[in-house]
Amino acid sequence: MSVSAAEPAVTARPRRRLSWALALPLGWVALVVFLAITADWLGLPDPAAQELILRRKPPSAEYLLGTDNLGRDMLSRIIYGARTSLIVGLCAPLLGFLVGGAIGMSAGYFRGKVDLLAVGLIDILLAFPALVLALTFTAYLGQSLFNVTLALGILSIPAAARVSRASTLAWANRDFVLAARTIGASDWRILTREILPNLLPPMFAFWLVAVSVIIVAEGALSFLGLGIPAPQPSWGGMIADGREALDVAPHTALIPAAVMFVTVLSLNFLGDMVRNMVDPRRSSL
Amino acid sequence: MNEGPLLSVRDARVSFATARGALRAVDGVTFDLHKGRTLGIVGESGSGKSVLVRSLIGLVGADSGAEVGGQVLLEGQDLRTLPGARLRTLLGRDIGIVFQDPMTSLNPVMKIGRQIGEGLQLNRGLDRAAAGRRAAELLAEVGIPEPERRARQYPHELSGGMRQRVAIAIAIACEPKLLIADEPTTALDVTVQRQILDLLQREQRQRAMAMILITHDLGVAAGRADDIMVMYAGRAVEMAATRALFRAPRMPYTEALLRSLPRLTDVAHTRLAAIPGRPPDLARRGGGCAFAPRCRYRSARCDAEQPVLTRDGPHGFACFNPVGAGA
Repeated sequence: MSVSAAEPAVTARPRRRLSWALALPLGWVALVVFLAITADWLGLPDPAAQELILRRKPPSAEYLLGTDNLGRDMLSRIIYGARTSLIVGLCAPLLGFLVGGAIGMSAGYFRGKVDLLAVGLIDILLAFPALVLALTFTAYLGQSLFNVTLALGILSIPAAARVSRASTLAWANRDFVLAARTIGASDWRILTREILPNLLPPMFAFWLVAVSVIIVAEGALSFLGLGIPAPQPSWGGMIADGREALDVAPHTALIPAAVMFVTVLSLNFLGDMVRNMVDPRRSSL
Repeated sequence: MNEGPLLSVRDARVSFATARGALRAVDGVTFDLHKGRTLGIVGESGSGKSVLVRSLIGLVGADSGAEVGGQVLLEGQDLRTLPGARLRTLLGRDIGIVFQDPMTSLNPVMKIGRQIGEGLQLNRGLDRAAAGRRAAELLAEVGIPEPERRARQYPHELSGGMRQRVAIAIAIACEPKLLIADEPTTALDVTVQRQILDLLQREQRQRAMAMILITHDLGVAAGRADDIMVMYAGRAVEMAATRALFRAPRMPYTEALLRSLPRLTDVAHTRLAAIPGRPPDLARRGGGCAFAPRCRYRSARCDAEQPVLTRDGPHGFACFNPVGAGA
């Protein structure tokens, strides 16, 4: 049992090389987030200022990404739109994961009647056509950033609940949970201290994917005219506006579509990578 | 022995409802365990030894679909009738468990020091810093070098043997009166098994704990247990002081188990005496002795009637045709 001094430190981990496959999506997402946060200080033209004489201008030195149907600066609108898309895209799944995660964990841990009730609830939510639910929601409660976020948040509850329930089922049977119970830990303590930390890595990976799904969903809502209300730019709304002029000024729809595409792709890449890092447990010998 | 037993188990029963009817995993087991003594529970896979012990402390119960019966007294208090919160405090303070596989008995995302300190914080009211210091002391005690550094590591950074040492440190952290070791060496390399058993024995003696050592390996139980209970198909079939059991087993099953062990004195390439047949299906048991179909001494009575554990002095066995009865 003696340990020689020459033995290398166990804590030293091999440095992971930052590959392009990770750097590109990470860089893009970081850029989008950075621009969305600092939009007010970038000296951008007002995203709502109309210049009807200069409408549908293709990209130029003055308007880097051109202007839209009402002569508004596209670059400015894309960046302010990123803010909208990110707020909805990050917050809605967060809401869904908090609620769904709690439901899923209780279902997986307590089993029995709690499980039955939770699974029933999840199935009802899943069976409901998602877009119709969101449409009804915003149509009745009114279109606002908060309501759209709330509607999409509710839609992400079932998926989050399923993932967390499945993981909880797997972890709750481990001996360390029994061990925690024998040292006198309460259910609450076991759930929060023993099981939850094990759920976080897979849930985070799944959350990244959910963010991209929600960004697209927000786009779909805006496209249908039930997303974020008009003067406030959002990517989905821009694509919807640009659709009218697809033949004469295709950039008005294609640029926001491309930005959304790259962002969603990047998020999916990151989600997959995080999942690969946490999923096949490297320590499981 | 001027006091009563620490743990007293009376007619413990556990049955699971299955699609094919009730499966009686534990069927009327009775034993006493005194302070400072080690009881070895020996039996093959599925003989009910783990279920028995887990049911004693409420880890197998109604919420896992099991029906539990009998009486379990820890220092005269019936664990089966205690309300949940009281039972938890009692378990935390008085009973420690070491599980079979340290891969699954440690939380992979919690630092080792925290896992050891958790019980101390919960049951002994230590603050975080004090619990951390005590955790490092415990790590040193169970033979882990550089305890301060190890306490800050995660389970995957340790070897299997080290992990089992950590599991032992967790189990003994709160100075329990009873230590339960559920096949503590089964998942480990042979070279490490001995070290872990030595460690368990040393800690048990130092702290004058009672210990239940569950194993399927008679050899493991031989050197470590004061008494041995042999289980077969959910029943205790023989119970005796270790030496008496090895010198003169009375139950044919125990005899067969002993015969199946390799001996150094055997001529090379001697075949091991395997026990023919298989353990019975617990969901469809007949009325007779569960071991009868595999038994060399089987008689007509064995198929008709179930033998109960009878005592011949300190030696208990459940058999109509015990070995060495001159029959």
